[in-house]
Amino acid sequence: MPTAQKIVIDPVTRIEGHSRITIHLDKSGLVDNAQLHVTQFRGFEKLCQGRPFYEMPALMARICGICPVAHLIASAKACDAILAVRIPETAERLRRIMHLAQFVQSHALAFFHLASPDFLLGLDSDPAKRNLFGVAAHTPQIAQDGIKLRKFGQEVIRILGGKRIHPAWIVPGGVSNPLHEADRDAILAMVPEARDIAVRTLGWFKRQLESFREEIRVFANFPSLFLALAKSDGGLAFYKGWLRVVNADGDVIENFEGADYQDHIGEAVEPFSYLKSPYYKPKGYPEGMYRVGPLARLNMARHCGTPLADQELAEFRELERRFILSSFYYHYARLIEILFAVERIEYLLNSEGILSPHVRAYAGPNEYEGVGVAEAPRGTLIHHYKINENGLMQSANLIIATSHNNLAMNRGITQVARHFIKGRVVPEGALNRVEAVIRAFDPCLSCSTHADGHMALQVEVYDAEGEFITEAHR
Amino acid sequence: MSADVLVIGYGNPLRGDDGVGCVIAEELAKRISDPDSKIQVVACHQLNPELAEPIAETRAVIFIDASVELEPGEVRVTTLAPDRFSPAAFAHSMKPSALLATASELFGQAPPAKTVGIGAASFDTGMNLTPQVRRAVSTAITAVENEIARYLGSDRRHH
Repeated sequence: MPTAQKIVIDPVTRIEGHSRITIHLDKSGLVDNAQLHVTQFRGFEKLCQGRPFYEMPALMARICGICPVAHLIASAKACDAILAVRIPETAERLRRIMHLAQFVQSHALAFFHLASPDFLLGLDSDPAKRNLFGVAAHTPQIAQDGIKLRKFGQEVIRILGGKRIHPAWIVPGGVSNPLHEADRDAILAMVPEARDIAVRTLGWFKRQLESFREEIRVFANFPSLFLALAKSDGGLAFYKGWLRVVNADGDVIENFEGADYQDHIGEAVEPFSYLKSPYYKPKGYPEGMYRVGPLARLNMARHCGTPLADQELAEFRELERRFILSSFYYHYARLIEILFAVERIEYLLNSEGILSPHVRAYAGPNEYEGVGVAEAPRGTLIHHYKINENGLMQSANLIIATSHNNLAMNRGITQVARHFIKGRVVPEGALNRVEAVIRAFDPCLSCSTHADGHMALQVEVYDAEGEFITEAHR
Repeated sequence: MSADVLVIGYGNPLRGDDGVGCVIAEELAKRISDPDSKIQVVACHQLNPELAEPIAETRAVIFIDASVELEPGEVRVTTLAPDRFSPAAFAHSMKPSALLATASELFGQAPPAKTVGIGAASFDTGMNLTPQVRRAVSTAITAVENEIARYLGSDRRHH
């Protein structure tokens, strides 16, 4: 009689950090369920205790090597709330420009460097070639475009912040320095090329969709709630707005202030992962599963607010009659957001008063508590700080974007594994699809370690009793 | 301006010894006071693909990284070759060998490369190095400086 077995993919290639997937087969060889295990412990909240709150933005930016600006923004907004100030309009726009540049940079990494090999070369192609080198050999322009877009984002951040990694330019109350005319012009000069790349990549990607009908059908394609910031007029929001919960039919369930997140978002902990599993409290756990990130944002956005991105959004909406539920379309949404970000940067740089020298509001702490919410490239990011009367941090609570998607990612890999894995012989292309559904969410565990020797790739198989049977290295 | 020698120290500065590469890179940057220096030092959280371009434009590159394969506090210099198939290639961060391959294939050149590895003891959340790794910092800096001198010396002989 065949025994049940467990297949372990450890770690997931082409996503960041330390994680693995276990696929549990039942006794008939069919997939029972699959789990994403995140083995890195995050203890950054403890690191904050006892430090002056105004140090938080610079410290929090160091958590992540991929989206430091998102942490900077959420942290600075939490500090703005502690200062109880409204920051100057120019400062807000400058923060937005840096934030948008981070979106371009982060989304470009996800799309071009991590996901494009699957689209260009195929999910069943030779894994040794299914990487950026394979892309460069097949269609050099796609590889070069990816690097150029990342460079655009990097350069904007460098020009504004003066330092490419972990800029300390965003501070409580605004930004530390105004924008100079020459720097504005330097960024504006880079916009046309970035916009052209975004437009042509969207065109190319849309032509590929027909080849991925099966993946679109089963890549974490199920009804769920969605959570994102949204403007009061329903427009796409990255920097501020209501936190909005929308159901799979597109009905708005609730709008709430970021400061009230604890009334609406619960955080469950599963024994198999250090990554928390947030859920929408009124629906309970795990029924309150929701998705965040590009798909959530574009699903609920009535408009983006820039001409080319709005055209693309209208076309995107045509994919389905109601909400778009397949997580395969995260990639598509990501490309539209790149286009939006480039257009919006240009708009903000040309806006009146962008060179104003008034870019910071000064105050001491006026509140003991502050919550900062921003959309990070991969979803909603929440920083919540409490201080004492001396302005020293008493506690911090961070809900990172990747954790919001934890429940959906786990359900997604189970859906894909059930569809593509039938029995003990597991084709490489099936395993790649299980990884690819995770890549669609672009999870980031960049807050983990990067030491040499930490990464190894192996597939382990266990029997019904959990006994190890075999392993394979890829 | 492209550098003659590019030094890249990397790691997560909030994860204990993982940040030793950054600590060393920042210390080296302080020691290079000449604004016209042909040695460029980068301290970063992790290796991203766009580093391939400056790597391709330099004559030599030295990576500085914490290692789980060495004994805590041990310092070892190893020669690196481009490797496009390293298993961790194209996670959000890249391995040095994959970055060299990217430099070679997308930008036409991969310079000679070394890694100065420092055996790490703890990756717990925190901004401090463990005592044995802190003691190894000066040894590692000397190792990096020796490699820089070797590259610059051989460069002078060639020109």
